Amino acid sequence: MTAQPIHRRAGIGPQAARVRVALAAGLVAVLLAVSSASAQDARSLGMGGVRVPGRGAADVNPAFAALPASAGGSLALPLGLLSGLTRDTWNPAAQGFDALSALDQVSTIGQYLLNPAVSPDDVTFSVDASGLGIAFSGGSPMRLTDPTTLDAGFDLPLGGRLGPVTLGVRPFMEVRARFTPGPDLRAVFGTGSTSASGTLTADAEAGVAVDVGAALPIPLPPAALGGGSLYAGVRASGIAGLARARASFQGSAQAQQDSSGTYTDVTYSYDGTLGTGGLMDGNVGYGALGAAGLAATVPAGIGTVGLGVSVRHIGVMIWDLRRTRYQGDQNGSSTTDLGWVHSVEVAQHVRVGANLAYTVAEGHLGVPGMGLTLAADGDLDLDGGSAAHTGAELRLGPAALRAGVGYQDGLRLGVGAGVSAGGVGLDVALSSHRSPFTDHQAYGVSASLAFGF
Amino acid sequence: MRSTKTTSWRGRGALFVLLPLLAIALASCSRHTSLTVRADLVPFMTTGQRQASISYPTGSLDIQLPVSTTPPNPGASIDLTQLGVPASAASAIDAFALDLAATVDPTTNVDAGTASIFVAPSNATNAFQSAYLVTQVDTPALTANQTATVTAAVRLDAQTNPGALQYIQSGAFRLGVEIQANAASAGSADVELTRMVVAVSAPPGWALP
Repeated sequence: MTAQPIHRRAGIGPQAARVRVALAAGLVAVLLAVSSASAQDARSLGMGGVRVPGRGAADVNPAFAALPASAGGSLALPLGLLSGLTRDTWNPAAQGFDALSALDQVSTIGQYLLNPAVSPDDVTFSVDASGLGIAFSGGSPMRLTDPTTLDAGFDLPLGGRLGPVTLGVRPFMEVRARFTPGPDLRAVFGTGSTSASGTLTADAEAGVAVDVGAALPIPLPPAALGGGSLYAGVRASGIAGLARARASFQGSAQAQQDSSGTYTDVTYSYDGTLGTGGLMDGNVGYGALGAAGLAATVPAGIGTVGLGVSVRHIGVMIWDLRRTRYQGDQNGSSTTDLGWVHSVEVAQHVRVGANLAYTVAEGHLGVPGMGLTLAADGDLDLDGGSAAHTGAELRLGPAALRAGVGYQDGLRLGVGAGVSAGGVGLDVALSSHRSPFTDHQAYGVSASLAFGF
Repeated sequence: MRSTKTTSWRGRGALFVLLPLLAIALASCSRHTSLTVRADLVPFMTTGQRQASISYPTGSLDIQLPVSTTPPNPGASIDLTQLGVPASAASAIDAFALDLAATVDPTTNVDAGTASIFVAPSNATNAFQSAYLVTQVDTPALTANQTATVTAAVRLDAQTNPGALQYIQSGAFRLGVEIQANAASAGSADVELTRMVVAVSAPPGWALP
């Protein structure tokens, strides 16, 4: 039997078939690129999550774009997508579907997780004389007694440099969720409590940003900074928002007691709003975000110190959101359409960061071809949350070994290695993170291509 | 003095308010995760339902729990939806467990007997009918003027008790336990229900289509 061309089997012409194949290939390429761009590169993961000052870290400090080109950049490979091929935890219809595993993997799409978090085998809610209780058995240990954050961002920076100016277009999607338990909720997971409360906030936004940045060396007197260099950078982003969702919910439960301490009733209530808007409603959001930073390189002993400070995500977004209020208590629930609200949102999650590295170039450590980088960084989200990382990279000729430790909503560990030749390299890492909403430490394998530019 | 604890059954599954987006959405939305709701009914009973001094004639000690002073005894009313069990989970319940304990202090010796467990529909006016009997367990002999603890623990499932489970899957049902034994002579017994824990379980994947 002779195989027919695919367009004949599909009942379409060769031109249409080529268009479809091109579209499919384009879609796959975009998906891969988005996934790659969203992921932290393997060099960073292998160093405990630290971002080493250099052009590859210009997203956290626009001044880093002016640093010497030897710092290079990288493209993380979306190894997490392999999980969709090797496990059925992503498929709700599959017997092995596990929402917690899927969430863990999707939020770290640059890594193939070796042991993603697993949902409990049993969730037990209890009511007895000691109050309310909840217990999990099996699966990964759930962690709902402390504020817990889920922060996942996906973006695809496309652009280039023109002298000191960088221009780019960056489709993006961000999801942030934070669960804050009330102080009484902690007891619900232990000895029991007569009350429990918590707050859940969630933000999601997708859009396209047009980024314009500039980074320049600042002239210094010859003796300043020990002969080093100072750089300043700014970046402004015009945002066209395509979709937006914003939710805030509070809930509480209370075992009511009379003056003698006798239970009289158990009541609960919740109250929250959900606002949504975007292209699906025929409108777009718009706004602007900015970032600014300073960076410096300072010779010190046999090496060079690179450092930078930055502030980013400053700005405002304007949206028309359709808001709905959800309320309920033990007597019933209600949903109220609050109509369209013109929302001017001063950017949340303004971040202040600092990056530091000490690099010893090859040839100064007594071993031919050996070089060393020690790095640390810190990042503070003014709306809650902080991160800090430290790591080391030992280079020996074309090879590099890395290790590091950090804290970013839980402990992070990383080890890695890399090889490079002719300005192109391959980095791999084994790293760990704390899975969302759990105390589970997940380990993942990542890889990225490195470019010297 | 023991405090008297009373409450309505409203809103006892209040934890579901706090955790649907977390524990339920994340944990229960997995094929291997089951849900269990466990409630001790005693802290919410009136003193009159928990405690009583019951007179018995020669040959027959008969204690119905919870206690009702005016027959017929409708038993304990349990509304799973008011416990916070989602309707979709109630209809999926595949197991029910009862763990009961009561102290009994009779004035005469009482032989070993039985504890009969009844599960009745929510509209039953008398839960202690033979049609609603699901199982019996043995109880120990009791010594005059000594407080003894009588316990009963059972687990029902769709294979062993499909009828009773249907009542439970409806989301609202009644529950009663009757302790019966031969007494050597007439007397009275101080009875206190100290534990009446019911647990219902929905199977793995109950929240998923």
